[in-house]
Amino acid sequence: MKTSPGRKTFIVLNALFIILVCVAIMVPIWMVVVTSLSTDAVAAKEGFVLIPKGIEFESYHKIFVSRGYMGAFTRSVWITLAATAVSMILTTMLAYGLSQSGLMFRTTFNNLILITMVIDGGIIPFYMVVRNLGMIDTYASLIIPMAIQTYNLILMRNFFKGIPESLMESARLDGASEMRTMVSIVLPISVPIIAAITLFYLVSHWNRYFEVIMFINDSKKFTLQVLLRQMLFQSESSEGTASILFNNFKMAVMVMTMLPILIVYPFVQKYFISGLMLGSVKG
Amino acid sequence: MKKTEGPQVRVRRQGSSFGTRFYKQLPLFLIVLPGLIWYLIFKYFPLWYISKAFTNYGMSANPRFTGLANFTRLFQDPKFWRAFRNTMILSLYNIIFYFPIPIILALSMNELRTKAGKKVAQFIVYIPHFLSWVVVGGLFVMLLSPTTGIVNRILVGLGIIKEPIYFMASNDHFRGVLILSEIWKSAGYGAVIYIAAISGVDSQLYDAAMVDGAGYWGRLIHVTLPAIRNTIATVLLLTLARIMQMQDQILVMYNASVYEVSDVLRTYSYISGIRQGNVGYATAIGLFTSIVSVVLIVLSNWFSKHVLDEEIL
Amino acid sequence: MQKKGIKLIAMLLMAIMVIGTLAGCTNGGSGSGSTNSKGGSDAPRELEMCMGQTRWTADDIDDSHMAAYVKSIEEATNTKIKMNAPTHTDFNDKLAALMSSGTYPDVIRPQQAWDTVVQYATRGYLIPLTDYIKNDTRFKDFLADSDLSIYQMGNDIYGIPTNLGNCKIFWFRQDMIDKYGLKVGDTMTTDEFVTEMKKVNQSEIIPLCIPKWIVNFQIYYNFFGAYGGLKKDENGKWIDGIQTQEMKDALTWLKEIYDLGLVDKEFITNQNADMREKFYSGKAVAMVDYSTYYLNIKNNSEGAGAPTTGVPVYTLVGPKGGKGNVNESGNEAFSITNKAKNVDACLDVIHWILFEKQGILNASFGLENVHYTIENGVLTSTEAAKAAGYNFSVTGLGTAFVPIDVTTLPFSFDGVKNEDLTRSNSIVATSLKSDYLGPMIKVPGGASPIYDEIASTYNDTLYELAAAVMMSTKTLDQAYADYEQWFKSVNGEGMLAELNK
Repeated sequence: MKTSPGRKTFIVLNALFIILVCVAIMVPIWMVVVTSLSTDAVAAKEGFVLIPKGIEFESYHKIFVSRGYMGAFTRSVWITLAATAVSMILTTMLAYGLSQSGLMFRTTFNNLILITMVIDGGIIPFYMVVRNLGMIDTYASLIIPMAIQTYNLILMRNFFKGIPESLMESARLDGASEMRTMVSIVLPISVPIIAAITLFYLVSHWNRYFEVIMFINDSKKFTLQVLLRQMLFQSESSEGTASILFNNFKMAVMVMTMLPILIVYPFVQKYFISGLMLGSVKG
Repeated sequence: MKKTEGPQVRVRRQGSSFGTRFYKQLPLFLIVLPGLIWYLIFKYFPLWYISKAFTNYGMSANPRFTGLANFTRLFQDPKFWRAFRNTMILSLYNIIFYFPIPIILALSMNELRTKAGKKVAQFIVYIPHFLSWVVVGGLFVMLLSPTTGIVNRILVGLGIIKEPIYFMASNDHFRGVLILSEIWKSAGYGAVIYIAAISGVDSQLYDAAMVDGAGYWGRLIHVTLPAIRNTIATVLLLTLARIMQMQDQILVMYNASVYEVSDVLRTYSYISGIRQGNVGYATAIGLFTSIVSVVLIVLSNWFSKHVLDEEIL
Repeated sequence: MQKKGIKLIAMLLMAIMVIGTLAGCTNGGSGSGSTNSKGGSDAPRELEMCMGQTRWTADDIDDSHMAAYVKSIEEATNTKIKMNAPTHTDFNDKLAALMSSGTYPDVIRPQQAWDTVVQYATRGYLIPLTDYIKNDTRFKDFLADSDLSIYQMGNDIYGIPTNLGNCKIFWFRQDMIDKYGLKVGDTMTTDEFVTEMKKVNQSEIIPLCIPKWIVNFQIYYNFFGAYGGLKKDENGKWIDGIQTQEMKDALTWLKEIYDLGLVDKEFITNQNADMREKFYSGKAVAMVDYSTYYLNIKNNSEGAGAPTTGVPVYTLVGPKGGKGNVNESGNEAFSITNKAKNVDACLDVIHWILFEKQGILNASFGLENVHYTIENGVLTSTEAAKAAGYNFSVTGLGTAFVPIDVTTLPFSFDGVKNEDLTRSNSIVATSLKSDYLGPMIKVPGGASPIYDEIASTYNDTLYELAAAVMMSTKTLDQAYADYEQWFKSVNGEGMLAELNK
């Protein structure tokens, strides 16, 4: 392929633009990481550190030796996994059903679901419903009420819609049940979207915090996010004798919240593009 | 969502009673049932409490029916109108300034020549999405600080501004800060969808355009953009729906000196309903917000239909 | 598409209508499935409780610490407590949600209790405690001297404060006073304050650092004889403290010192923690904080690598002689809700926490071998407790209802010198003297239905006004014009008329 000089300039400028964007994103994150690795004195003096002055793990040590932290960490992992599993099962089934033209009232269901994106009753009504179901102060309240996110549902439904109907029809003609068609024909070729949506759910369940505050009363059941937020704002406390925490500790806390997701992300990334591709092409 | 109906549906309707048709699709219906029940319970049952907008719920242990009192108050409340105005302005800013960014980013990343470069760039732009607003809010306060912030230092250093600006407390700049932080946090996440859509474009179309002698811009305008039109329309709608839900971000970032330009319907409703316990009033605000959202979405659908030639609803 | 749009709206309206009708048919009863636990005199009495935290749990993330503390209460009072202890950051939102959804527990310990207790009382969630406070031997002697009118609705009291008093004052860094040769003291006038603070090199150091919480501005209003809220004029009539010349003077002065750069330019984004951090690390000369902070300043400035001691300035003196600090007495209080099945058990628990020596000590230090150990007569936090954010609190004991002089306890404290303790105690005691203690004026609940409804909006509106004037986002006149418009929209005149009836 021939490349004209104008085209070359464009390619270079374009690459520069992307590099600039990446720098704009990485600089703050870099500062968070470097600050978390500083000593109290450095963090107290500089607030945020741009150029590292030695690496110290004292903040991370503080987090790890705390019994409350490790307990909440394991709890959070289990809740996140369970919630993601429930989310995926409900979302996949609903999305599959809604993508099939054979379903009656499909348009009505679709519209009724879309409407919920803009209309909601607010947190108190939501709380009352969860309470009336007897879920307050149970782990179920962190798993079921937030199980489906409409945005994810739509992406997934659109992906399924892009799968040629003939595939499903032939399976049905072979006498496979609807459930079987979904599990053995549709799901295997939908790995990309499933991977992508799983990550979306993992992130949102992992980062969940407001609902935990609202639905959980017993501090034995608090998740990591709640405790980390408490640590982050610790020195806000009214009048205790807390020793002040400097930015290094707070940033270490931030890194700890991001880390689990950042570890999972690269493994899922490769499915993203192909997964979302079909999901987004057909609106 | 709409297009797949059509001929097939009409064909099926011929000569089959409701009963047999229902029986035929029963297995499918059973598959969607759990999800539908979930929506009924967790999305529709709470709407029951919309009736609280007509009571003094939250203000009394024995709430009573107060008729339209909450709505009368609503329309007389200057803070409500301010919140309404801010919601509209911020939505508009979001559409004008935020909405095109992910598209540009996606087009630009698509033009990267090396595969590794693409991968790294995609990885990086996506990271901010993992951070919660509490964290991003804190980061922006630090970056935009007039004394220690890196942004002011760069701007002053380059001679763009003479005096450092206190962005977080300036009525002229704070909305910009909100949009900018939204771009920083979400543009990469938003771009992924477009990247996917672009990579799904049939390469034969590009070849054909090349043969016709179209340059890069020609291909962009005649092939790429039409191909991702539908995605753009869908995302526009979802963006609108989300703007109206904007709350966490503002609650974390605003302060008393910029309420004037940043208090929106959702935050006002949250403060009234949770902090002040006036659930009835907050519900009235929420109901109003919902109506505005629906109007906006219908409008955007109209826009899609007439400008982008795509219908989403 | 238009058909579609119409269809959508129609569907929506239908949904709302159906739901509305359904809801209209049934009376949304709040499920109060309370089972009356009778329980003999020796069976533990059950109760539910919601409180933020004790002094040491403020930042403690280890749930076993709270569990041990709750157990100690249970054993002392023969109760079985279901404790709901939200984290400090979200305590207010959580309690508010519990209250307005009707799922509140038997005993609550609200914060900003001077507002919340009356708020909950007027909404009918609480039971009056007047009788117990006046006649019950568990309470009457301890509370005899306290002014409980801030928890009053009608003729009844609905809250029991958690300590004798609390206030915020100015703190200066000794090393900065020396460095810039500042002359600071309690007779310092507002003008002298400006002169002295101008000596500070502003390009290096922030003269006065304050947090974003404008509720603290009362300290400046005091100097000008203003009050940020409804107050009584000299004739005993209720007036709006915001719409007075004194308040305008105070705000004008605040704008002046802000423009001069004497106040942290970035105060509006300062959390309390940010302010303290700047002060401890020597980036600021002065701050406004609790009078109990002497030891904190000493220890934390050392931790930040800029050791110094704190010099308290209890108040400035305004042009007309006005003075006073930020009175935060009664910030936390215990209340009993109308859901309480066994009021007596609730009272026992409150009594033990506030008025029994052991209860007070447990709330300050936690429990031996869980939170701390005593080795060679020195109280030391355990390693695990420290890592979880625990820290024993020695400063609040002087203001407990049964004042405990920590210097007389049979042990000393790790890292705390006795002379510092003595100094800290005397500062706390002085700051609470009537010479220095700022006013605390609260409108009694039930007197004005309008006020009861808009009380918190009223406060928010003042904060906004003050911030706008101080930071020049609006001129004084403009800000007041907006305020008056709001005041009119909520029928402010009607509110004052109700109060003055």
